[in-house]
Amino acid sequence: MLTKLPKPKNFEIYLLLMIITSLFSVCSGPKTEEAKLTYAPEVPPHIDRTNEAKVIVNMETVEVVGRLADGVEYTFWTFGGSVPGPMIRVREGDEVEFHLKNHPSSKMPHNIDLHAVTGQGGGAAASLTIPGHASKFSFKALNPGLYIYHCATSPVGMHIANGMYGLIFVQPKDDLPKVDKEYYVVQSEFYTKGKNGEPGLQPFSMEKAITEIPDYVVFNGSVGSLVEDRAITAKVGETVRLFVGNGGPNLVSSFHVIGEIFDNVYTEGGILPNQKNVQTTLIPAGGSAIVDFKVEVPGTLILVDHSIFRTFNKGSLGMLKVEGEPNATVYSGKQDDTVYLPEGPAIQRMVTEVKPKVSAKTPKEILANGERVYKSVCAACHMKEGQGVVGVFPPLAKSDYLNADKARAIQILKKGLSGPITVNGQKYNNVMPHLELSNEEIASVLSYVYNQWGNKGIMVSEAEVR
Amino acid sequence: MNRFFVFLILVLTISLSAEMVKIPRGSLKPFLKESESRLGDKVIVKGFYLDEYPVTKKEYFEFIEANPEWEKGKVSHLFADGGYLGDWKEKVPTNRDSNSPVTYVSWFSANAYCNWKGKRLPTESEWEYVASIPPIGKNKKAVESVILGWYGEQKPEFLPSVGKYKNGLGVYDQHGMIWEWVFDFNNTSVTGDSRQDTDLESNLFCGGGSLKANDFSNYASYMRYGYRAGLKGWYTAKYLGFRCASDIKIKDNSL
Repeated sequence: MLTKLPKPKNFEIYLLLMIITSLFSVCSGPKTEEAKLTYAPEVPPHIDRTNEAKVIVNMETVEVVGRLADGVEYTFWTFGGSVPGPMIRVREGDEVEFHLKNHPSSKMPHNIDLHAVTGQGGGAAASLTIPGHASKFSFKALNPGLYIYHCATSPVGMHIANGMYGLIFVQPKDDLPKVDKEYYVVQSEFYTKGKNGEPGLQPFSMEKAITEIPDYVVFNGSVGSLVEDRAITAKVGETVRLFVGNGGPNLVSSFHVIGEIFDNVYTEGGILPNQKNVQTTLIPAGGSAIVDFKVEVPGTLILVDHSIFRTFNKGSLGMLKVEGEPNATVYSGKQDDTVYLPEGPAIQRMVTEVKPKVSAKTPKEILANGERVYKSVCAACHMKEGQGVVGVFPPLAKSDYLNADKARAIQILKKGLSGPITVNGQKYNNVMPHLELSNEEIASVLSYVYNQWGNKGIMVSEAEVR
Repeated sequence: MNRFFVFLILVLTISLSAEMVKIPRGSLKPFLKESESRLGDKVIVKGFYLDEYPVTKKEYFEFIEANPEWEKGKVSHLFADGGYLGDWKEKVPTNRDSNSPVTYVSWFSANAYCNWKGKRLPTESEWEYVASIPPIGKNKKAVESVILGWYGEQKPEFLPSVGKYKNGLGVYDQHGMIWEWVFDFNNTSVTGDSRQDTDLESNLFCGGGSLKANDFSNYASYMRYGYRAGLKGWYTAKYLGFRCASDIKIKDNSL
């Protein structure tokens, strides 16, 4: 039918159609899409579009009991049921329509303050939501960068201390360089009524939070959330980008990756790679950093807060496992396997002061002496209850390695130990220093350890140590 | 012997039915200062009567029987949202939780209940004044630990029966079980001058909370004010119930 019409008219219709379609696309505004949220350590996919869009974010607050450490539970207040909350990715210039839903089972009112928002309270007042209700507000993502979001309902500190934070990345129009792997890591602290490791459901301690002495400092919400089979991974030659946040509520993180140097650091989560070759970058509470690096050699890189007691005693330890071909030029590995060198790299002397020296006679005195030695020398690494730190310091409690060979245990205390061992099915490859303990002290502390924590209950005499 | 127990249970049931406690005149340092008052100013609370316990499911059921317009499903959405009595599977509360506080009630329904009893909802100042009084022989810390303990506990499948926590005046369960409606719940977020509302509201968030607070250490209270600020009269929620107050003692002998 249309073909039978004279040519000019056909052309006019065509033109008219074109005008209508172009008008329509202008009037209908930017395209609408729903943000794909991801749970740590996953990062939402790169946004490939080059135009602005309207992005809908749906987030839910929910209070859940979960694992804080092995045997330790905590009533977490969360975004999306996890700590940290889901990661959001939008693009600079996007119009974000935010829907916050508070689960009907919640006890608390919640809201959200996104540091990426320009506007009062970062959306806090607009999103205050009591259980069983939902709020909506919108903002324009004016400033590209990596931002913390958190609950800002009074008392703010308590909502944050209970786990309510996460990251939103506003991807710049002028994109960051492409990388092979992106990961999402958030550090934070927990303040519990019981001491670190005390089992059971641990209530929040307001006193400890106010004095800023946490029992747990963790990555991604719990001790061990980024180790062993939960470790993040990369292959030799790949570039890795970590989006790192610090939920706080109180501590500043000295973020460091053992065995790696950050090629670029976008300090404080801005989009300027303003420093190269950084060993440790400071991440403020309620702040972030983006770090890029290329992994050159295989091995396990350890993510830590280099305020190091937090790492070895409170939990801030994660792993990045790198697979691939070794490159001896970049890193040789151990080139010399020496049993004992007084000033060598493998085992160093650790001068220990265990005072006062007492001469222990009865088994009771020996065990008491051993306990004193243990607490002053051993407990720092093997921990108070001999539980050790998985993958780093082997346990002494119910330890198959310890119980299998008394003579070996004596030699380790006399000379130190280095290299790979397997304890209770877990591999360890670390250095135990040579401790300058007297024979009597070695006998006492070993007797103590053998009579603790489900070990086989034997005594070690001074004569055996000689 | 058996009869004695029946009698005892009867006595207990009666004593559970909304006795009112005489609250002597007193003063309260409010958690948030009024805009016209200075930090540390006290609010005088006149003597009044307050229900000994939160209103229970059983009591609320009697109210519905006498006032069928408040039945689940019959109430206009202007007066109660879709969650109204959301946990009532049956029309009648089960034995298991009939002495638990009624929740999923709106301000309008709570107000109607109190009026039916010849009572009213307590004001925020009245409620807070009574709630601030610690159990006999204990101090403020003890109150806070009850509240924080409640925040951190594992959520029970059913709310417990009333009568768990008793304060120094003999009023039960203002802490540690549910939130409660007060007459002027929207007091904190609305002023007469609506142009200032935005600012006032924001004072509850972020740093604002500490500007207005009389007592920074009273963290547990922040939450109650925050909760109230998020409410509208028709809202209902799982942990939100109420109790009534009165200027004269009202003997409740319906049981």
